[in-house]
Amino acid sequence: MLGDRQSSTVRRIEGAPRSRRGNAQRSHAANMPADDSGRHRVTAGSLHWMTVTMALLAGAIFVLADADGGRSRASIWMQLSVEVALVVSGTLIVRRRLAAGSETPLIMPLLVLVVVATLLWEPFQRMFLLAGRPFEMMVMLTQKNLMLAAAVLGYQIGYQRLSILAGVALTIFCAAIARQNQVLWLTAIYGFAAVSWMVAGYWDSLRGRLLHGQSRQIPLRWLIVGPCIPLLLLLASASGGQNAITVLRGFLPGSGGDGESDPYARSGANDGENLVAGSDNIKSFGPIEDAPFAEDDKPSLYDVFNDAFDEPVRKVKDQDRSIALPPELLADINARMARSAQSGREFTTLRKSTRPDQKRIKDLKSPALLYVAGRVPLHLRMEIYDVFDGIDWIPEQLLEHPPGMAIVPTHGKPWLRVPCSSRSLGLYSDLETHAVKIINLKSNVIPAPLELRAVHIDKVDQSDMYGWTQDSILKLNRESLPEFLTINLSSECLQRSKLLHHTELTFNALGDKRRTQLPLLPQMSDVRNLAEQITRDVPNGFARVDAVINHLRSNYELDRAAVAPESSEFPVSHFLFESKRGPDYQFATAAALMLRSLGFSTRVVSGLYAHPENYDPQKRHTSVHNADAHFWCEVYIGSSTWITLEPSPGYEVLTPPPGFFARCLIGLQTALKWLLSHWLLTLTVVAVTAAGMMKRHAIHDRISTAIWVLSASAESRVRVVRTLQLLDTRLASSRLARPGGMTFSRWIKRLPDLSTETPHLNDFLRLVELAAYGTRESFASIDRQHIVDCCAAILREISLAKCQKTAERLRAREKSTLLEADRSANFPVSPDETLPTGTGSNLVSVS
Amino acid sequence: MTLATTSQSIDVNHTALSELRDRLNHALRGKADVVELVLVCLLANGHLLLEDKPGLGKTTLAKALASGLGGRFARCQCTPDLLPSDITGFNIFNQSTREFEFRSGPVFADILLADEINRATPRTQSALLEAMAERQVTVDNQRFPLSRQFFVIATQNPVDQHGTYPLPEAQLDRFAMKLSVGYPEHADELQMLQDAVGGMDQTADQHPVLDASTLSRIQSQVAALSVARNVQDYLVRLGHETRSHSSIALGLSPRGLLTWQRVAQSYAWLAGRNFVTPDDVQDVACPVLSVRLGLEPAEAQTVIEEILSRVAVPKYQE
Repeated sequence: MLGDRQSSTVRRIEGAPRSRRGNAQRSHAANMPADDSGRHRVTAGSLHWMTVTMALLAGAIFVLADADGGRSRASIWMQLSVEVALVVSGTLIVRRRLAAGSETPLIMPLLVLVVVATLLWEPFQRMFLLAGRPFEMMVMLTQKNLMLAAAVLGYQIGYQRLSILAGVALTIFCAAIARQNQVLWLTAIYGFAAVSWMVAGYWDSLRGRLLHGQSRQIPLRWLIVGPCIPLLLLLASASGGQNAITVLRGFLPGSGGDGESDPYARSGANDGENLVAGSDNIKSFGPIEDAPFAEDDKPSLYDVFNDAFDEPVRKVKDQDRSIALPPELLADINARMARSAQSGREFTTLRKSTRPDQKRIKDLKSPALLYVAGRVPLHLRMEIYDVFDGIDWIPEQLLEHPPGMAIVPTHGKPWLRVPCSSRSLGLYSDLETHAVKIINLKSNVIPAPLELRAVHIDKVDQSDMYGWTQDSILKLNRESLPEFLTINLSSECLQRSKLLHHTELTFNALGDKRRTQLPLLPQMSDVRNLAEQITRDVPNGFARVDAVINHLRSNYELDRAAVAPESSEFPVSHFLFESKRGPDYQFATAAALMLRSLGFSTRVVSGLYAHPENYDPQKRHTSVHNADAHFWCEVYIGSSTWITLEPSPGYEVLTPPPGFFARCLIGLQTALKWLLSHWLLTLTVVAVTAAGMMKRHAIHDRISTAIWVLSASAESRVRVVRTLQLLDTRLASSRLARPGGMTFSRWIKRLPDLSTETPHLNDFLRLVELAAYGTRESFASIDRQHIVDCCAAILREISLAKCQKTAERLRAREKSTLLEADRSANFPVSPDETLPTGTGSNLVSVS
Repeated sequence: MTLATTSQSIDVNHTALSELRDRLNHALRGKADVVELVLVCLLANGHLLLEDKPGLGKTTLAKALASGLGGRFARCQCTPDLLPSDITGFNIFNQSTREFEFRSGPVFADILLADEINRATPRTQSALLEAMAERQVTVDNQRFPLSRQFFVIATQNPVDQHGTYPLPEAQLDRFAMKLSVGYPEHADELQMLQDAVGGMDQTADQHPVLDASTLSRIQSQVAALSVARNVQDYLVRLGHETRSHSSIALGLSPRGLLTWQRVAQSYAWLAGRNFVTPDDVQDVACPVLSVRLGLEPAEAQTVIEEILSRVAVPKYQE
């Protein structure tokens, strides 16, 4: 009797118009369980723990990046666990004490206190603990603590947003500066979590406004955002792995060559402490451009030449040509000289309080010939050979009429312009600069790439210091390049992709016999045959060059030890047809000869190869050693232009820097390659993840049911509530989540299949009401066994599968309702169709 | 299996009460839900406002209720020229005793039916104020207590009709709930017509079924019904929500909150429970809130539902 009365009341309330929806939807709303109540605003509570987790993750990333590999694992774990404990307990307290939506005047002072305390910690640490952080880490530590505090206070959505924002910024910072791989992985996880947080928040705010069934479709934005996330991560990983100094150069203070020095700096922004240009108490001299001048008896490019005295101040053992330094630099040196010249000075007791530096001066020996700063691989040419007699390559003759050179000051620096006629071909990308730091190179030839356009050596402002040796090979007019000399080279980069389709190339330098001449040996016919065979189906033009080079690169093996037998008359033929392996000069020779036999003008170049493997990411340069001496060849393409060919496998030619899309593509390819090479792992992960995703509700339900079974010893009231929570979870995972403004009993009665086929439901509901709202005495009077049985029975009756089935049925019904509404909306019955025209007026006139 | 959820002291199937229910249902066919809420209001010791169009059975219901309850019944038909003293009573000079003697008005009955209350002038309406709130009247500085079960059933036509004075908020707050009867269903109307043919006035000679002392006992039982702390917290949060809602000018007053709790208790008692659940609170929300939130009848339902959906029910905590 009571049930009837209640339900009639309910119907009356629910049947009323709910909002400004259309009629069809209104009727649907009356039929369907109304899910849209209670969730109109973003519920800060549901996302609070997620925010806390993310803040802790970002905090962990920061701790890892901050440690920079300099702390033991144990201490990092200790710090992390302390942080987790503090934050979780703080969150629990906040959630218990502060109801959602309430504002306490304590919050702002608390946040300010966190910031101030963090900032005050630094001077304390430096003073008493003799440790410290650089400025940027200090700022970021403050941000981290602020983020954690905001996460703790995340019962309000505003603080959650603050925390997430700070966390994202912190993570980006850490990902940029950190060198550990773990940080990269954690960052990826954080990225996923951040996106999920946004999506969850968005859906949470939307849930009230959407019809129940529509959430099944994958929204368009997910289709776009979904693939974007891995793409961004790939990009990050493609650019990652190097020190972020590259990224942040110039933005952060460090101990590098920017003149600033901070004892707490993590690493130098330029080349680190060893290469700081100092002016006081000089202990070392390195290959940097702004190094100070000091007196030395080694041959130097710079000498103190004073016009007033017309001779050097001090004799140097090996006299070589040098540059006069301007008088303002001289004054300094002379003053120091004068001081040291005074031998019998008075002894004064009045001393400056500078402590003498106790450090011993140590030479840092380097096996490198030179260092290259800039993009590698780079072919640095030293000598050109053009005539080949079958065994020996004969160097190119020195230029008879060397092209003129002029010093052109650019940005206040004297740059030597190298004349060039190949620009007209339009094959080159923008200028780029390399710096070559000479360490140990006993030669006066400036090692430079082929497409050299300008050279700059500090303070060398006379063009007659430079000279030509061979075609486009520069030298300094000295015996050798001095130690520690830095040479800046400005060159262009060939866009090889344009070569294939270029129409204005002429491959034969007219009248240039030296570069087309072949050795007069019978074996040459074999070489020619091979070349023709390779290029049989290849059109004329650069494609043939490509074909020959590719043939050599793919079919022959580089082996520096595989030298042709000494008896061989024509070692190239041994290399080409017998051993199929050899050192790089055999590759170069073979390529040059084959191309010559096809009519191209070629020459062989020796020089140094800056290998990308030798790149030191910390010092940001590539060292070039004796072993990097290399041979390659060049081919003529017209307009006095030669281009580098690299026939040796394992060596690459510098290509223009990849654009954004090219880099994305490279990242994608790398990722795909990795995935393919680990296909078993990938498939397993995908399959397990997919299965987990599809069955996640079932898995979760099994686990929670198991926990429920294990907690059998709990108090009966607790047991009833836990049963109810489990049922709530089942409903929620079947997307029949109980709205916040509705009690369980009311909600379950709206779900027809679940409320009708469950004999224990009413008993259970009565138990629930009594447990939740009744007096303890009346609950205590119920038989405990009955409670246990009833809970177990209701869990059997309202299983997850049944919930899901109900949800599906409801959704199908809802769809058909909507469909009908749609149909009636699309085909309205107009009065004109039902009544023939004129009938109406007839009727009116009759009546 | 029976559960001991009902305490022995609650006698839901009280014969008198069910007889009263039957009688009301007989008088007003097909309106079981309205009848139930009328009973809820009665047991909560609150006053009732019936609002609907003319001829839907408001007065019939009130009269049926009055006849079912023992005790004096009075009715006053409110018109614009009705004076306050017509309701409270007045002192009259008795020529024979040469003294003023008090002639009590209709408020001194146990059940007062104020028909078409919004036709009376505000002055007369406010005369009822003291009577309803404090169950006493003061005439010429003399205080007269009213019956303990004093129960006002007021009926009114929808406010937008001609010649009406809308009740002020202060007076509206004195009513426990507002109900509208609504048109009957087809079958019920048919039955009503059949009963009317050749019938006579059945209510005329009906004896009362629920005497004053039983009613008083039940009312005190209702007032003592336990309300869990989390349910009270829910009520308070609901009250707060009405005060912050954008389309409500006048939020729920603390007196309104007290009334709501009492009505919910009464509802729970009638459902045979000795405790109040959030469902009880929700079920009586509409009649309780619509009388006092100053809402247009058309939008009242929507707004109240919205409030209910916004406030989360108490969590089931271990």
